[in-house]
Amino acid sequence: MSTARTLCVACERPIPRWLWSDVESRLVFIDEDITAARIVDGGNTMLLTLCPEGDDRRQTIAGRALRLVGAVQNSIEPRARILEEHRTSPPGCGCDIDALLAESREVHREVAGVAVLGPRLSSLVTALDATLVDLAGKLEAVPFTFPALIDPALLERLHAFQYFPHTLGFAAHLRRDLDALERFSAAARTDGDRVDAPADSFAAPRALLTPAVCYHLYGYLANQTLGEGRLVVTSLGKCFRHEAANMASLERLWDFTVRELVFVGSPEFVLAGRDAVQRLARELFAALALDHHVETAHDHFFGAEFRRQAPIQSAFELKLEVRATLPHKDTTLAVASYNYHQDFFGRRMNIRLPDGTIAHTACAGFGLERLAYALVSQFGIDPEKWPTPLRHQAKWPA
Amino acid sequence: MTGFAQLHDRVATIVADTFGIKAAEVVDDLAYGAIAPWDSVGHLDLLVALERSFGFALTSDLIPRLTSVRAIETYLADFEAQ
Repeated sequence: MSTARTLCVACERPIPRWLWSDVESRLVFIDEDITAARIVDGGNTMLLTLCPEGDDRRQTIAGRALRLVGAVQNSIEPRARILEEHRTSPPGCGCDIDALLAESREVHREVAGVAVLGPRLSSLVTALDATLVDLAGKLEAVPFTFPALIDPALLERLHAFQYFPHTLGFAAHLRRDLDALERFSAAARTDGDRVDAPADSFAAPRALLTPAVCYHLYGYLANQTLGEGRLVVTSLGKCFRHEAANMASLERLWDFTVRELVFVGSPEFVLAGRDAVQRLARELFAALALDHHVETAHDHFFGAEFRRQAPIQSAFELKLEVRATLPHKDTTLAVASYNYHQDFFGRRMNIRLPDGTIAHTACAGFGLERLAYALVSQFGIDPEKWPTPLRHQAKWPA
Repeated sequence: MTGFAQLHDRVATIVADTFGIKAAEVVDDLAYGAIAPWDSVGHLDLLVALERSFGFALTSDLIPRLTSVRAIETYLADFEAQ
C-alpha cells in the first residue's frame, strides 16, 4: 500500500541481495521526482520517496523502476574479494561529523554536491596532495595539467555516453543571439538551486565537465606511438559526476578533486606500475593510520552495460578500491582506486608502442575530499589529534 | 566423430560466431586477448553464448577460468559428463 509521497513498486522477481545498493543508487536517476529509494521486503519491493510533483505520475515512475531492474536483474554476481585489511581502531570524531564540519564552517554547501572547504580542510587536502606528489615522484611520473572541461568527441570515442550517461555534466553557455541575450538578461532568475530562464537561451553544449582526469591523457596521446614505449603521468584535476539524490556531504560530491597517476605501455609495465602505486599507497595509509581495506570493485555502468561490464571488472580484478572506515556511520567510503583498463583506451584512441602493438593503460585515482572526510571522521577536526605526518605537513590556521 | 571432436565443433562454432572469425581458426590454443574481439567484453559475450548453448550456470568464478578454447572444452567435457 502506497502512502502519500511514498511509492511501493512490487518486483516481478526478487532483486538479489548483492544488487540492492547498486539498484538503490540508480533508482534516483530514473525520474526527477524520486528523492530516495530503498529495496525492502527481501528484494520484492522498491520503496520510492517522491516529491509532491511525483504524486500524479506514479504509474510512469513505477514503470521506469521496473524497466531499470529488468536491465540489471540477470547480471552475474561480481566477485567481491577483500585483498588487504588494515585495522587501526581510530578514535572517531565522537559526534556527527557532518554537523561539526558545517558548524565550524569547514564545509559550506552551495548547492547539492558542491561544497566550499574551510581553512582546516583545505590545509588537509593540500597536505594529502603533497604526500601523493611525493609518491608520484618515486615513480618518476611527469606532471600534466588538464582542464576541467572536456571535448565531447573524446568522451564519445571513450564510450562515456554509452557507459555513464547518468552522471555526465555539460558546460552550457548562452546562444550568440542578441535577442536571446536580452531576453535572458531581463528574465533570468534563480528558483532554489535552479536557473529559471527562457527555454531557448542556451546554445548546444560544446564541452562537458570532465568525468575522469585520465581521459585527457588518452586524447593527448591519440594516434601517437610512445617513443620510449612507456609513460607515467601525474595530474591534479577536477572531476564532475552528477549523482542525483545520492549526493551527500563530502562523501559524494558533484565537483571533486582527484590526484591521478596514469601508466601507459606494455601490459607488464602498466600492471607493475599499478602494483607499485598500491604498495606505496599502503605505506602512506599506514603512516596516516587510516583504517581501511582494499577490495575488488566495479564501476557504476548505466543500465544493461552493468550486466556486461561489472562481472568482468571484478573477475579479472581490473578495478580495486581503497575503502576507508567511517566510524560514525559504521560503513566505508571509497577514497582511492587502482584500475587496469587493458587495451581499451589504447585501442579506442589508437595509442601504440614502438613495436606497433596497442598500448595498455592503468591508473590510480585518489579522491582528496573523500580522503580528508575519512580522516576527520576517524580522528576528528582537531589538528592536535591528527596522525603525525599530516600534523607536520599541514599548515594549520590559528 | 568422437564426443570430444563434436564438442570442439560446437565450441568452435560459438567462438567463431561471437568473434566474427572462421571456425577453422578456432584452435585449442586460442585464448583471451590473442585476437582483438576476444577482449574483456567479448569474453563475457562468449561465455553467455556458451551458457545458453550448453546450459551450465555461468558464475563469476568461471570468468577468469575459461580463458582459452582448451579450458572451455575441458570444463564443458566435465560438465557434459555429469
